[in-house]
Amino acid sequence: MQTALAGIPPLIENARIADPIRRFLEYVLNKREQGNPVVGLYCGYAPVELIRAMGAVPVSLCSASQWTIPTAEEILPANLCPMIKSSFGFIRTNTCFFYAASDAVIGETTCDGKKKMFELIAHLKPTFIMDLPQLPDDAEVLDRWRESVLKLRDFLEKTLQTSLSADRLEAEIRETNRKNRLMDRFFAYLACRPIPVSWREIYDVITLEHVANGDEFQDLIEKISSGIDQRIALGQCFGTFSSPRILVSGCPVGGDACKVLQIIEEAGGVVVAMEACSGMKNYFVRITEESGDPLRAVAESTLSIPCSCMTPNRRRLDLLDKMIARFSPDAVIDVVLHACHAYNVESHKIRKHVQKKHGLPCLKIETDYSKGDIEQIRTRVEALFENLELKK
Amino acid sequence: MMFNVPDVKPLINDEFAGEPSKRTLQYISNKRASGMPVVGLYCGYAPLEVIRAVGAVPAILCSFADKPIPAAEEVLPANLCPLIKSSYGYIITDSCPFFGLSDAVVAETTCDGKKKMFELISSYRPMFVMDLPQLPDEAEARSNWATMISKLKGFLENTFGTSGTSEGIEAEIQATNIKNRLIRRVYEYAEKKPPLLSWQELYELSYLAQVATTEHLLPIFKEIFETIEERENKGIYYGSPSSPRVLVTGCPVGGDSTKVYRIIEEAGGVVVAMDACSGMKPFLSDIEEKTGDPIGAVAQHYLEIPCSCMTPNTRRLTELDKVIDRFQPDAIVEVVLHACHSYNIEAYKIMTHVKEEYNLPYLKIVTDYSEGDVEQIRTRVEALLESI
Repeated sequence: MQTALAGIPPLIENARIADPIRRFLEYVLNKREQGNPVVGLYCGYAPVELIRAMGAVPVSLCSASQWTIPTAEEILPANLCPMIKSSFGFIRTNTCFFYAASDAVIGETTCDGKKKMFELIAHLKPTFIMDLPQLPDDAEVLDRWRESVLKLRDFLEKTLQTSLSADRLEAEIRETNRKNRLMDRFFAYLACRPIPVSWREIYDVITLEHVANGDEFQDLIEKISSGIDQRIALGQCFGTFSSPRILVSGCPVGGDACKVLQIIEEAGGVVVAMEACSGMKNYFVRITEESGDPLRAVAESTLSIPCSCMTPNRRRLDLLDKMIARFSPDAVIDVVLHACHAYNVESHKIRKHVQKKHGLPCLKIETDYSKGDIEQIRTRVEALFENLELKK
Repeated sequence: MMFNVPDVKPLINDEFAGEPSKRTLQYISNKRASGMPVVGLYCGYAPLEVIRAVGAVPAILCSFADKPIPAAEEVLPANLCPLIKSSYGYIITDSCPFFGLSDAVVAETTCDGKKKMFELISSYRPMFVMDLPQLPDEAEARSNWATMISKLKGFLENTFGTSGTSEGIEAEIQATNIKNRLIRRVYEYAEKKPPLLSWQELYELSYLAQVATTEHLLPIFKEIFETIEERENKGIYYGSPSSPRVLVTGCPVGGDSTKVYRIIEEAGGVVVAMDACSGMKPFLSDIEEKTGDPIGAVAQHYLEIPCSCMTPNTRRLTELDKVIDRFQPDAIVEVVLHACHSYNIEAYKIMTHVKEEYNLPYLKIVTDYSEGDVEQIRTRVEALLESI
């Protein structure tokens, strides 16, 4: 089935850097020792350029483990998105190091569950909730969101005793754009058939962005690129030329939800693109430089994220069109976390779009962080792949 | 549960007693026949005064029956709020007469499920989705919502070729206040121990009053007060003096989910207050008059609706305090519609609040429109009422 990676040198050779959680932990600890405040985040709508420009370190808070869910369910309903339950459980059990290290926390009104869960943790840390407009095509939407971003700045200035300069923000905008362009060089390899990297490596490279900056990040990407070039030269690849290529869309997939990616791999498929926030979506964003109003530019870029919390979320269809054209998947798998109504209802549109416009099969997998449904998911993924086989 | 004497004259004494939707259907059909456009609504955040000021008649769209849900589930997830599934099912099976009469539909971004369901019906009728601010206490919330209401007005004017004036909205504000004060006077008779009216009567009145104009309601109110005063004079009351008084809070309850009210009664309780949107919530406060900025006043009023979609929804606790003080319940039943995350999570705060502040027994019931859980709910309600 799969070409194992045994004998193929890892993409990131430095063992310390190669362990994503360890390197992130070390990075945050170092920054904290240097006196940088830490700002905990749950979502891609938090404007990281603003946080960085104020001398703070944005960190994604823990949210992807089944382990903390039973404790969360003592207060939260069981019929709720596992990501929200897990996030809350991490806080209740005091086991998210990043939360403990956070000097402030940012939440957004992205979905019913998160919005109301935040109320239950808002008293534990200085917490700022951003009122996210939901109609991305409305004329006033950018003004409204800019206002929320401005208020976030005020909150951070007060809470962290720092200030924001337009120049610093402009510099962080350039930095993000530079990183996103570099990341795109890596993404270009995912369009190869056969694909030279595994989904785990895609994740590893994506998470590097959180711990490396500027020249250091460029250096890492260049090393990774030459490693991949070498694999290609040697004919080393992941899967085979005929392995079904899968674009994974939908809810964020991380931690225990990675079982879906693992099952795709075990069933003989290769993951060639991950559209979700946990994957590539945010790196396709380009922030307008030298606009004269960097705060507005940052607001505009976050607002362009095609999350299902937006209505209508046409940008997600546009993004899928581009990703399908670029990465040539044979099928789309839409991962919906249990009880995530927005992605779940939107899935109907996604399937219709993918089938009608691209003639590709689309499989919706509704799952949580438990292991109970692994074999059921496997059966469905295998059936999808068998169907692809028949069509050839 | 019943009145202490037989053959009590119904509160709204017409041929539609017990059938509130037929009553409003006739009302709306008549209005439409007279040339008025009809605006379909799903939620209490739709500003009725603006809709009326542009010359339209509001219609509450069907959302309370189990019947169209299987059809809806062909497209929507099963694990979704029954109100949303039912609404959608009614439309795709073409069985909501109010939607059939509607010339436009107003929707709001109140919750994930509705917001995304609206996308699937937006092609059926001219539809306007209002982006509802979710942090009601922020300084900009009011102006953002006022802007949204102005845009709604523009949409309705364009769609119907009519126009609404500030004076017109101001007049509607005043009319709403008259109506709300009259309804609150009716509620005073539910405060009495024992109450003088049944939950069905309160429910029917809410149903009609959200749609009908004050002008239309004035003679009805006159008769209502005569009826209630007659009950008072004759010593007629509902339930018995020892019936536990129950306040029902949470999600809207109507149609097939009124099973919860029925079960409370069958278990010996009497429902004295219903604080949801389907009950008293729309009528509990007034809109500020003569501000010179009627749209701003309307925006302020609607933004103060204590729905769980707001964060934090502190007003729900303060409003609940008032309702508890007025209606003196012996127990609180919270109804959460299946998969309604915001009411479900907020229920934890409500439970803590009513226990700590009032030491009142509290029961959360998560339910849908099916009959499957009736006996289970009954067991739990009976246990609650026994504990009083």
